[in-house]
Amino acid sequence: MSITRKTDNSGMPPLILDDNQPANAGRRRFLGGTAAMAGATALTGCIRKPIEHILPHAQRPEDLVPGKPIYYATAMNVGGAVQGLLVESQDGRPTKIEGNPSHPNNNPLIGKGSKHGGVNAWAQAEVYRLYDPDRAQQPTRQGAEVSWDDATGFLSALSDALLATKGAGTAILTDQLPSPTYRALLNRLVARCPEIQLYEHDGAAATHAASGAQLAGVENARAVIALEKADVLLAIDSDLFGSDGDTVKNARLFAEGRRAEQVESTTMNRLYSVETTFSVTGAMADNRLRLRSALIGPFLLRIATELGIDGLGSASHSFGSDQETVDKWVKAVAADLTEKGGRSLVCVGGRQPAAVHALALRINAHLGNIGADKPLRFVSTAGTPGFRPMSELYDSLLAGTVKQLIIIGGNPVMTVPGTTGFGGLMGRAGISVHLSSVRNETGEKATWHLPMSHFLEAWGDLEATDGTLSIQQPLIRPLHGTALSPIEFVGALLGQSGTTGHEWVQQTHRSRSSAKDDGQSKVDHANAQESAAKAALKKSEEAVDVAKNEASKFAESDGQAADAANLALSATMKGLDSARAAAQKAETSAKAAKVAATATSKADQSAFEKSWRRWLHDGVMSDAASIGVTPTWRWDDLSSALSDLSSNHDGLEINFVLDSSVLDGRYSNVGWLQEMPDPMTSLVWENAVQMSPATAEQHSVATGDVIRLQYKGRTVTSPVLTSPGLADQTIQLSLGYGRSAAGRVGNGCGVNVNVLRDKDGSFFGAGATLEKTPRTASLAVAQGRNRQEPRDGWEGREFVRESTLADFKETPDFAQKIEQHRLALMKQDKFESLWEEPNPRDGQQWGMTIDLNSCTGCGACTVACQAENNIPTVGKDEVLNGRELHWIRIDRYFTGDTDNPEAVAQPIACAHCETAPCENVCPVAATAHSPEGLNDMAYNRCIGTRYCANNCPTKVRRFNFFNYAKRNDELLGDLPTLQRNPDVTVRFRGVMEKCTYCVQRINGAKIVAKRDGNGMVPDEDRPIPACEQTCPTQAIVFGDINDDKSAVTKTKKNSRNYGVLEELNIHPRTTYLAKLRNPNPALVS
Amino acid sequence: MAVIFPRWSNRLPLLLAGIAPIVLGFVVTGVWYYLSPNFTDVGYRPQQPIAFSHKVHAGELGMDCRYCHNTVERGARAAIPPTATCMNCHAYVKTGSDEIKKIWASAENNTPIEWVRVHLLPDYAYFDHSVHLAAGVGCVSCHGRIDRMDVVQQDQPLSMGWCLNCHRNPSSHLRPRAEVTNMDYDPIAAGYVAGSDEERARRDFKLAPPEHCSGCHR
Repeated sequence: MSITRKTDNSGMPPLILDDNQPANAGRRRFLGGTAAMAGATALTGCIRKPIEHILPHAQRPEDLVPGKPIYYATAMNVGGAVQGLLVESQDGRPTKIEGNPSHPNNNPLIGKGSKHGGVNAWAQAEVYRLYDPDRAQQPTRQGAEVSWDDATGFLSALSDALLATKGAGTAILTDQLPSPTYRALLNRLVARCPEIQLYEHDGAAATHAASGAQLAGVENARAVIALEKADVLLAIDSDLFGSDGDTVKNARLFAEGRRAEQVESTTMNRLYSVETTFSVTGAMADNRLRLRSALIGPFLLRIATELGIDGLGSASHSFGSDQETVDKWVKAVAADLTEKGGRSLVCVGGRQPAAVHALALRINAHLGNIGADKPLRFVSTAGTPGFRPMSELYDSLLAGTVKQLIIIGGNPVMTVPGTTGFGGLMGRAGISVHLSSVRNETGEKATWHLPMSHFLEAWGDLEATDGTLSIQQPLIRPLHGTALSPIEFVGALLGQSGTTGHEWVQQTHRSRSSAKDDGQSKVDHANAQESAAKAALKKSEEAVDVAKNEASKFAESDGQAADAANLALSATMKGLDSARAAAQKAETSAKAAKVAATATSKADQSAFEKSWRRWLHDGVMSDAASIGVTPTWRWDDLSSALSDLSSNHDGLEINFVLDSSVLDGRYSNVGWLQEMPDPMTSLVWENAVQMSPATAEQHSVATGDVIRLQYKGRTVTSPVLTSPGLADQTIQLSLGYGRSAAGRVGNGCGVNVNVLRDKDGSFFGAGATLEKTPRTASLAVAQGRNRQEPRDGWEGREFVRESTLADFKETPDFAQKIEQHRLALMKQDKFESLWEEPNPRDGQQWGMTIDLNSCTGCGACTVACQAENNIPTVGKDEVLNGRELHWIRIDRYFTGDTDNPEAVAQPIACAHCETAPCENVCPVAATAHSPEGLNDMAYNRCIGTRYCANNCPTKVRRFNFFNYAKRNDELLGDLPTLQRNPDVTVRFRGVMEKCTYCVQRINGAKIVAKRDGNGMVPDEDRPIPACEQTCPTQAIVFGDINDDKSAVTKTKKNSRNYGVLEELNIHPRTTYLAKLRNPNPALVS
Repeated sequence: MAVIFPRWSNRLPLLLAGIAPIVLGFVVTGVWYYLSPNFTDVGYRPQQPIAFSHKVHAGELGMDCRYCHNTVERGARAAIPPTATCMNCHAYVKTGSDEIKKIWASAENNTPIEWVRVHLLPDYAYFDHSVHLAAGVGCVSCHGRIDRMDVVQQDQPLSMGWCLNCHRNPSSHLRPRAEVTNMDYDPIAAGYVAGSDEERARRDFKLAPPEHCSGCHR
């Protein structure tokens, strides 16, 4: 039977058409076929199940219970931001990634007893990347696959050439990889090949922050921010919670400053956000100001002037129509920053130029915000190799002086600003080598491409921004045979291809451990003593020999002289005796010392082994705190740098941002992330030209219109997407799309806008023009169907409820007014319940709260849920049909002014209503209530009427219109199936599915409680659903609502607690805590 | 006009009315019986790659089930033992036998033995051995007299209805935890449970066998 598959640019096959049937096939033939099929099905399918085999280990590893997952600690890095991870391994397959609660980047409140370790969506997606069948599997040379033997031969020849020429004509371009071992190896390489040129480029790293710090005189140090110490936070074009730096840590610490648990004593930190795009950080802000990117620097300069900082030059930029607002803002924000001096912080995002970063440091220094226990501190970056500026690389490539270009990781062809023409420049190097896990656009251009191992397959170590060291340990052997980690690759360049990553990492940390040094130095000392004694002995013996010779010489000639010589000889002999004795003594003592020292060394060895095992267990080497640095400021260059800031606001300003899901394109081939809706626009599977509705109107374009965008003589064609909240006269373009060598999932999604970026690496610029084309495109926006917000002739329902801190203190129960009204009506018998009112149930009753005050809308829960619950991606076309399968979605509501709105994110999953409307319409009882309050879904019973979805008021039920899991398998093969969670059914076509509260985890906890306890799951061992476990801000709390002491009972008692659509008498088990903002009264209009 | 239907065809409806219920009855009964796990699954006895006899090991030698199936109290699966477990004895015992040589080959080459699965639940049903043992359900309740089987066969239908029967009326299958592997133990004869007083059994043994969907389906 032949199957044709129609593919489209979403990378997913939309439909499978059976073309076996001739067009004129008769009815009789059809019926005959059907009958035969039915018979065959009955015979093969029903009577005997398929034969399965069980393959036990020949030697079962110790502690392995088949079917029971084991967790290992490791760590990952994205553009210098390190996260500690706990990875679940199911019978040897890494299947799910969680945050490591021992790592301060994932659990910054570890000191306060917190056991919650969050991670972001990118960490969640790494298991998808591990099993990506489009990963490079073989080395290639000029596009043709070669064997590893050839590649190893080439590497050793390359290494020989490098070491022989001292690295002349060789340039190494590396990803940002904060690994001590990797850095040490690079340093060693530079030491042996002093003429080698090192460059660092990372599409997702904030390069301008480093150069800004340099401008302010900070050398060999990097900034670490501690948001728990800041009461007032001014985010300058900074997406602290989305894509800038340690987002998980930032979001958690920020959220901790606004828990609002008690009414009276509640205080909240305050976040001002000044930005061009609408980021999740902007959505969290208490006050938000929209400004063109070019005006953000001048705005900060105004603040500095207002704060009384001199010597910065003129602050007389014009803000055009925003002048009045800016004046008001400058006054209010400066006053607030001054008042909270020492507990305030100005943060600048990676998109802003170095001068603005330096200016922010100036302001922070002025306010007294910098210091060991202040919101901003500096830690040493000693040991980082000296990287040259990228412009030198472009120049030397252009000049043809680079003979060998070695690129480690990354994809510079896609991420280096497009006008550089890096792909072309690469061809000017004599030979180019690229090590990366996917043979991407850069790998295609390179002479040699070598497969790089995934971090779950390789040994390594990582240093977080604050200096915490973590171990990166492999969970699985390289899936495709051989692959090199960056550490092993540099090792091979050093001519030590035989040394494994494990040995390199151990070597680094063995020499770091001081205990070992002690033992070894004692051995060395003893050895030196012994050899000194031996040398002395040898010398004496030589002296005796000389004297003997002399004596015999004299004896032959002259008797008297011989006597004298004999005398001298005996004296020397005596000397020799004493020297011998001394030497023997020295030797004995040296030997004893050596024995003792060797014993110490052995003890140190085992002490190292012990700490190594501890590090592997914890994932964190806790004894490695970085040295704090007090920078010596140099503000001389600041004013001139600031005067170079252009505040051009003529015409359209173009803005490039890292994408909220695929980042700089490194996650393009991850279906989960492609289908993760953008937190603001809900756009999936592509990027678009985003602009505010007012700007769109001005240029007479609308969402879906395809436009030609011109900037600095280059053009891209892409559809428009209007999005409220963007600064007017600006357009926002997401990087990381339009890839051609990402793989089967990511190829052809969206448009590559990097081609427009200027060589200087700036992220914005004025002077873009746009031209409408007659074409239109359908943009896959995942939101708008399920959300219940006001539309034409429809008032909407209050799904999100929010207030300000001041109002909350006056009316603590503002969120519960609707429910109170309903209860009052029921009391007056105006309403009658159709149900027997839910009785207090026995035993454990599961429930959840989601704190809208903490939720940033980052989407990590959506991806975590997908990974945990085997939820397939459906592709762009199916999203356009409204058929995405996310069990937990993030709805975003704009509130307030249409032109300058605020935004609230609300995660919505099945609320497990106690009187669930879905249950009583199911004709086959496939969805029913469990005694513990779960709204169960029995897939094998579901016949797909979809009545339940129709009757669900929150629209959380998802239907499998096709066998999506199978469709993805047909596209990508069997490899991705290794990721699936064996504890969750893979759903078939035609069944309904939805959030189960991670019932597999509940059952797991219950089984343990029944087996080893009294049958009740204690709160400290409570099941934690995937969404809660990953949530960076711990906005989600799950547990037993029947237990007075449980965490969820406490959150449910909060006066901000409300249920969506409670007025329908559905008694949702998932409730929300209303959002609060803490705006500056001076800025409330 | 020619007669299309012969005269006898007038009696056809009557005949059909008489025969149809009988045929229908046969069909219903046939499907009911022949397509139920009682017929299709019980007694399933595939040939295994090695002629391992539970009758010898568990029956005649009296080895405890948990010597080999040692994860049964800790995990969901009773886990077929690794070859290394066989080698504990068969490194010395009956080393000349052809069957034992297969074990040796597996141990030497570090290759798994491909056993054929006998008890196969559908993928959407999740069964956990450990919690059933903790509740005091004996091996014999689901697996039958394994100690009398030379070749293992399925003893019970393992259908959903069969599972629920016990979840609703567990008492006659309960025993002290020490007796779970005892194939001869009779809880009623031993006086451990009093007949079929389900309420009391649940109270006494603090049992709450789930009867809702997500108890087994996830």
